[in-house]
Amino acid sequence: MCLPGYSGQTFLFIVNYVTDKRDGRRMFSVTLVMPHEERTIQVAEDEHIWDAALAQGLRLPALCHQGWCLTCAGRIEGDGEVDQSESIGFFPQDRQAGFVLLCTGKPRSVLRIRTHQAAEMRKHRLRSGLPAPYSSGLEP
Amino acid sequence: MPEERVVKAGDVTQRVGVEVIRARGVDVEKLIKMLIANAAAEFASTYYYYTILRMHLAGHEDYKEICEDARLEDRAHWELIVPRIYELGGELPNDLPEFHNQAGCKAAKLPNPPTAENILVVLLESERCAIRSWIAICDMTFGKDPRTYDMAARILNEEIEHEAWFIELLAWERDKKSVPSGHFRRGEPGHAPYSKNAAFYIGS
Repeated sequence: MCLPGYSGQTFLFIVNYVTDKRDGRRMFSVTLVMPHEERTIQVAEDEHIWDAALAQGLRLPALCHQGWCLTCAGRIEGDGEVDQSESIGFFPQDRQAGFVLLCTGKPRSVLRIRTHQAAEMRKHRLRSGLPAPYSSGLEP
Repeated sequence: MPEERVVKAGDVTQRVGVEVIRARGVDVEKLIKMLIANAAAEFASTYYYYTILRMHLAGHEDYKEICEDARLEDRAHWELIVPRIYELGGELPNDLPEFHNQAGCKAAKLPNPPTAENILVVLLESERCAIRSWIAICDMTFGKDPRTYDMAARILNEEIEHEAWFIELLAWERDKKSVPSGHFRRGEPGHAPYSKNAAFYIGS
């Protein structure tokens, strides 16, 4: 887009969220990078990403649905913020490393998330000396 | 489906009981890890912490009794799982914190404040995690590993009952609503009719 007086320069506008017209909730675009497919879904600010994915036809791995077992783990690509306050086992080191637990994570920005990261997150937990639950979503 | 490896006569390094289920498509190494995670959940996340939770239910003797049943039945589950882990060629970690930290369900720690309502929420969510963990074992073994499937199904039966009990108690304690669980009194504390293969009803 060129603005008057700025011809030749490119401006990138990042829309962080759009307002859901139905009930005023903030909605965020979340791109899920899965092993064989990439899909962008819309997730409300008070909605768990996993639940929104299911409602939009995507069944992602999950087991405990409490934010503990790591089965639903994903990893943020680039910048982005996820509210994990409803996860019963999420640590600052997880956030630093970009991991998220989709079953109990709520978006706070536009996101691009690589899914199926349970094994990687478990390795990270073991390296960090943190609880490393084993679940069905993990490779031996 | 992988070819079944033939175990030679007198060979004690392999188990026919493992090879036959591997040949039917069970990822035995993964199954062992899942069983250890579930054993840790039964023993370290629930049996141990339920012991503490039931101590804080004074004045709610009905809740305490139900919590006691769930606690002892989770211990029965632990006792049932451990032999299967070793039969499959696995072993328990020789380090309790390591064992605890790979539990598939969070430790059912005493909530703050330790009100009956808060304790019942912890109990309910622990049972829900257990149900999800055991149905995953059922899914993985159905039609392939009847011995593990049978064990997992027995445990799952009791976890489903426990969830129903705690829904009933929490609905009453928190919401003053009646949500019947279908609970009949166990024959004795920790009766565990499914996981101990006992009679469902013991009465005079």
